[in-house]
Amino acid sequence: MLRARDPAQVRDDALRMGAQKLSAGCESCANGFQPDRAQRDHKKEGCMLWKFLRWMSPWLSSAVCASAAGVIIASSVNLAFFAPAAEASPSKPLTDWSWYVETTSGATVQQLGCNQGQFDAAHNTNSLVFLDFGGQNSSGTGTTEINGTPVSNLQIETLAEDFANGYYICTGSDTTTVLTLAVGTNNSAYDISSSGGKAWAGVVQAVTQGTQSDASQVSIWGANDIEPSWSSWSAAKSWVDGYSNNGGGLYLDYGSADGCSQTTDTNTTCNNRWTQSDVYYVAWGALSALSSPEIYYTSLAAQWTQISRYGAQYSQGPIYFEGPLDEYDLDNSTLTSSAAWNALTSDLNQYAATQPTEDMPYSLEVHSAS
Amino acid sequence: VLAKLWLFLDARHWLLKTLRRQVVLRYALTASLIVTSTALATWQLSTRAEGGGPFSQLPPGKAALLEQQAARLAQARQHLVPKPNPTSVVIPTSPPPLRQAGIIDMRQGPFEPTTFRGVNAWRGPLHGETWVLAYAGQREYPRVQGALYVELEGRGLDGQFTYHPLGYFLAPTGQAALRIVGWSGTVLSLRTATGATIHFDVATNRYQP
Repeated sequence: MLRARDPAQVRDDALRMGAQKLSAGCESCANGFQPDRAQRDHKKEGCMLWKFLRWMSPWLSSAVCASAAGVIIASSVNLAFFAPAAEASPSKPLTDWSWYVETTSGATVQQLGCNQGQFDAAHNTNSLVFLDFGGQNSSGTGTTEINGTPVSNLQIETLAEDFANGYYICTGSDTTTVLTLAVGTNNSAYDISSSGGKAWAGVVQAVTQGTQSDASQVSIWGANDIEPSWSSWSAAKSWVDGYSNNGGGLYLDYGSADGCSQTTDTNTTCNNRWTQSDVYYVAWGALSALSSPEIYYTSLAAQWTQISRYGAQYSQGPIYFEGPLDEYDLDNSTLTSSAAWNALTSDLNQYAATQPTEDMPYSLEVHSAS
Repeated sequence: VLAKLWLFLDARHWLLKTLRRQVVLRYALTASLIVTSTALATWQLSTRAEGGGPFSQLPPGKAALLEQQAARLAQARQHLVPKPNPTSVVIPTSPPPLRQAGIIDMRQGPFEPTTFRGVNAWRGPLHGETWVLAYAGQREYPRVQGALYVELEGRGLDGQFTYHPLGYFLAPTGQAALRIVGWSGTVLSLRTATGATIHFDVATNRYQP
């Protein structure tokens, strides 16, 4: 009777020939394709899957479609009920203004903090701001600002507290927005050493202590504009370790990856004999490190993507960037904040290893405060 | 004939029954596939969306530091105090920043490092309250050449500094980066990487042999 079903028999024969080729160690399985023997041979466990698939073969395409339908349904359900609002909106956050501090005026700096507080309260958003106080002096007692003005650690602490206090007061009735204020130096002057890192950890601790009254809306980090061309790798690493090992807490690396590859992730060299691994360490690999890289040109986004890729392949994982840093206000031949955001996100999305699972929370732009 | 017909009908009945049973089974299996894949995908996606906590993607040590920070914020919010009115807050006036004439050994400057690579800088008086900031180094773009980046520094009414950039001044000595090694009045002494010394007058913004 079954032989009368010629088309099916032809198909069975074809399948059996295929099965005989594929499952040399499963003779009974091949035999099992004879329909009247099928029931008896089902006890052969190794062949069960094959038999099931064969049995379902006319329905396999339907089953695959059904599974796909399930995933689509699940995605819709997930988006509707589980995904946070940020997931539904993969757009650039509002840009926060960071500062090269070229002043010693507490009133000026407090006004800058006040501006950020009003902005955040009005837009119901958090912000990440760094204040760059220039390079540390050789004794670790202060810095030289970008315009050459020497400031003491005490002045730096007071100015950072003024900024935080301005923010706190000017958020007014809003009590939920949060400023993360990163107190920054760089690796281009003196004291790029363990003792320099320890000194900066002391500055950050003092600012944290001095902003206790604002602590419901202000968090304090350290920060460093670390650039390979400015110091040796060993000096920068010593600074990072000195900072981390002396209770500095988190710090933001808002530096560069100058000279690093834009196309490979195999720990190639960067400027000044640094490697991708070295840049990765100061930006993310170190326990305290978080990263907001300079994205002044599209090429810089490519460099940071390769460093993140290096981390994903060979180290502790990809970098979860806080957000790109641009300097369009200081040099309008460079990328705008939107362009910097687009450059970094599109480059990171090129590779599965570096694809962010969540949007970067911030966008930063540096300005000059004099 | 009857026996054959009976056998035929019986077999046909058996076949239809079997086929029907198989159709039902296949429907059931397909339905269960939809349900299972929906459940699995929902679980996977919602886990990913929630991330198992805000910092679960991060290395444990880093996540712990961020969690400590979040805990500090939460603790501070339990003891909120009324904020002062912004207009009633008095910031103690800071003395105007001091200026010292001399060479500054710092590479950071008000320029983009892939455009201009700073080596060091000089700050000194030009006339009255107007000073000059000159950053020595190497122009990287549009072509590599030793150069100075110069700004005029004034003072505002509040005693704080104001800046007026004058731009880049390319050295006549070619590609080598410049370093400021000395100064006399308004004339800077600059050394190239090849060891040659040239001069630049910030009063006229011209190089001298």
